[in-house]
Amino acid sequence: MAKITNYNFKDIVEILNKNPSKENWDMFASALKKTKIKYYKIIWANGGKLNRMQDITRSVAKLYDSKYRVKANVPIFLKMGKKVRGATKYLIGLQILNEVEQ
Amino acid sequence: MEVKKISLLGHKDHGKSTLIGSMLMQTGAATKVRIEEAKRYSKKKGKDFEPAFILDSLVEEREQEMTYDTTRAQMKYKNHAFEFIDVPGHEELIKNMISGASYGDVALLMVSALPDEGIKDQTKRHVFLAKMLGIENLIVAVNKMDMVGYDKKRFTMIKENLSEFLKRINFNLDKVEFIPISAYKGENLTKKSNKIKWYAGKCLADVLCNETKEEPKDNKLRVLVQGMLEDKKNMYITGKIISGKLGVKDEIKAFPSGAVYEVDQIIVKNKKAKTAKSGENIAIKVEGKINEAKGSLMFPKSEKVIPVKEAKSLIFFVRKPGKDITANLYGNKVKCMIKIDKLVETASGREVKRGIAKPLEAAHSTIRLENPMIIEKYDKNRELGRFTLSDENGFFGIGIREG
Amino acid sequence: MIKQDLMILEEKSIFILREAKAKFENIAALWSMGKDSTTMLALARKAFLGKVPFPVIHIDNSIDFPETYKFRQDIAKKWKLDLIVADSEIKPDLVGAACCGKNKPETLKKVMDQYGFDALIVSIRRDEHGVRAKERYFSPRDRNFKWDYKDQPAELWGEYSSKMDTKGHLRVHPLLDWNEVDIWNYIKKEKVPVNPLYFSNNGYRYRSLGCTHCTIPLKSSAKTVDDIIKELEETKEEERSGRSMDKEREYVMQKLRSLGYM
Repeated sequence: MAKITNYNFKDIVEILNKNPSKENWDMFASALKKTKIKYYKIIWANGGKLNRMQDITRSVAKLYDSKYRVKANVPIFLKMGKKVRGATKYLIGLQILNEVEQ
Repeated sequence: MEVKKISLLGHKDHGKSTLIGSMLMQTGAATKVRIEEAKRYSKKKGKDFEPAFILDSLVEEREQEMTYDTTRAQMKYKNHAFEFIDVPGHEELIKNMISGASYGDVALLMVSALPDEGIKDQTKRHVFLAKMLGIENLIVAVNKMDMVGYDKKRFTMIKENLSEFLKRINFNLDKVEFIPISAYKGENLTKKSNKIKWYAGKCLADVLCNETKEEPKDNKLRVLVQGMLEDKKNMYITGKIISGKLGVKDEIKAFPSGAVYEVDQIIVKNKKAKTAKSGENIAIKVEGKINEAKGSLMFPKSEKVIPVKEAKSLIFFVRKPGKDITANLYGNKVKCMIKIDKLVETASGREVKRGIAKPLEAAHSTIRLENPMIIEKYDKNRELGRFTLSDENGFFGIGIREG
Repeated sequence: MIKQDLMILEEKSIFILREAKAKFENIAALWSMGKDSTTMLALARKAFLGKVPFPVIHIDNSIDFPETYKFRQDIAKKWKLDLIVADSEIKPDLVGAACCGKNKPETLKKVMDQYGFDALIVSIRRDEHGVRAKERYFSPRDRNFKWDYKDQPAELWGEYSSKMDTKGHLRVHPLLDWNEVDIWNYIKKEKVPVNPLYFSNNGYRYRSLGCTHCTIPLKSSAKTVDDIIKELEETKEEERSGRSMDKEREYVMQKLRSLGYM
């Protein structure tokens, strides 16, 4: 198993985007939150109309630092084998950013 | 803020829902969304604005423009808060009507002023039931005055006809108030109408403000047991004080177990208390072994409370009873028989010479219980003086103990 | 919005909770971590000597707010809750909402079967939504979770229904009489913990909490419980106007409700 310390913020974001498996979320979520990000905001694909599974898998959580600068987008779902589930609980500790899109 | 609960009674098309809609608008309780929606819906149905559409309702109710089930609507007026309870006016939904009306503090009867509507059998049945449930103060709103040109003669005629019936079923007419209104046009609801100048009294809302609920206040201790509760060390009896008050060190007796306890500790909402009063839900710690079942009653040891096997009762039949009759007394189901002593036609208040009750009739009867129970007289203790009746097909009537 | 007498409401809720507990062998409660179901748990603690004596179920579609998950963790620990997390799928649904349409009731059905619960405490209030005005304190649901709102038990004089067909269950509604503002007054009086999302942050707050998909915040500067109470006294908006679900036609809502939608 890879050591988390070997990965920086950019790497983690890339891994989660590439393969949001449960294993990856379990492994990287805490490291992700140990960086300078403080806020999150969820952006639903297709204007929030979830007609297809893709609309869920394309939705993202925008992550911001304390100065409200966007640092990354991560998916908000995870894969457990063939099953798809949400992954927002991995963002525990972050604060919602209630704000209109800039 | 105490909310005054007003049961609306009356025939189905006499404007109960319309009244609530107009009251919601005039008191500012209806949200913009609701009013807009009601406007759209009225238009869709090809109508002028119908205030009844503001009410919370089921799709089916709206489509058919009738109330299937009880609805509640709250509003503020001056320093008062009202909750209107809209009950179905249809004969076949009388169980919902009883259920709704039994929550009310004040009864408001709607009677249409239209010549072909007026005082219907259903109007009178509702009033009969209200009286039976213990309502003494009645407000009669004579509605649809706009459609009879705000004619005083029409109003007076309805007032006189109805008063005769009210007297027959023992209403004190001093406690009955008649008000001419138009629920649809909003006249005489929250301010005095200048279209009905001949009417000297107050507007409906002001009359409602002055109404108070008259309930017998029995100060003898009665506790209805809900069950047992246990923590690490102790057992507790939980229950609700129906009347009177309870203190630590009081000696109480339980029915049917017959056990006598000394109250060691009273817990009200998870806090120890020295005393507890009527209406409070409590847990009681007592000395010794305890096991009281749900539905048991507790009362002072010093008082002789005698369970009865027979009780003179007034019964209202929603439908004809079947064979296996059960009385439900404060959560206890007891098999019983009903012997009819005097049958009353509820739409006229007159006695009928018959031995079998038809649906929607009432009877002064004797009920015979399989096991003796504590039943109080309804005019002394409401909660322990009333019961519902069911048979193999479910609910069929209600009763109160008279003598 | 009318403020009611909290003592009367509290006594009634405690009575109903105790009645339900005494009546049913295997009872559970739904807990969404929202203000209503958390208030219900606070009431249960009052009714049962400081403990919540039944399991609490969270139907988790795994897209709730992180703040909500945190709240779940903290309160479950603090109040020693017997928490059942029921994993609910997210999938596109007939009303374009991933969460509340049919998926949650299906998950709930599975949990009810798995544990054999015969009664379920649900913290709905009459003032929340039109159809809810018709609810009873004890409301039977059949095996398919259907609510027969046209033929309900009369619920007269404390004689609450306990009848259901086999495999059906009873819904118990101890908060039915409460208004939204009563809940907040009670939270204030009893210091009931609440999810931080209810308070204004950057000029917005959540008035009614669903999951991240179906809930929209409203413009508000209410940063404390007192602020919220004040805001509610003045508002003309309906509580669930921040839920996308209710933007759909009332008809859909009613049908879903009768199908067991919570």
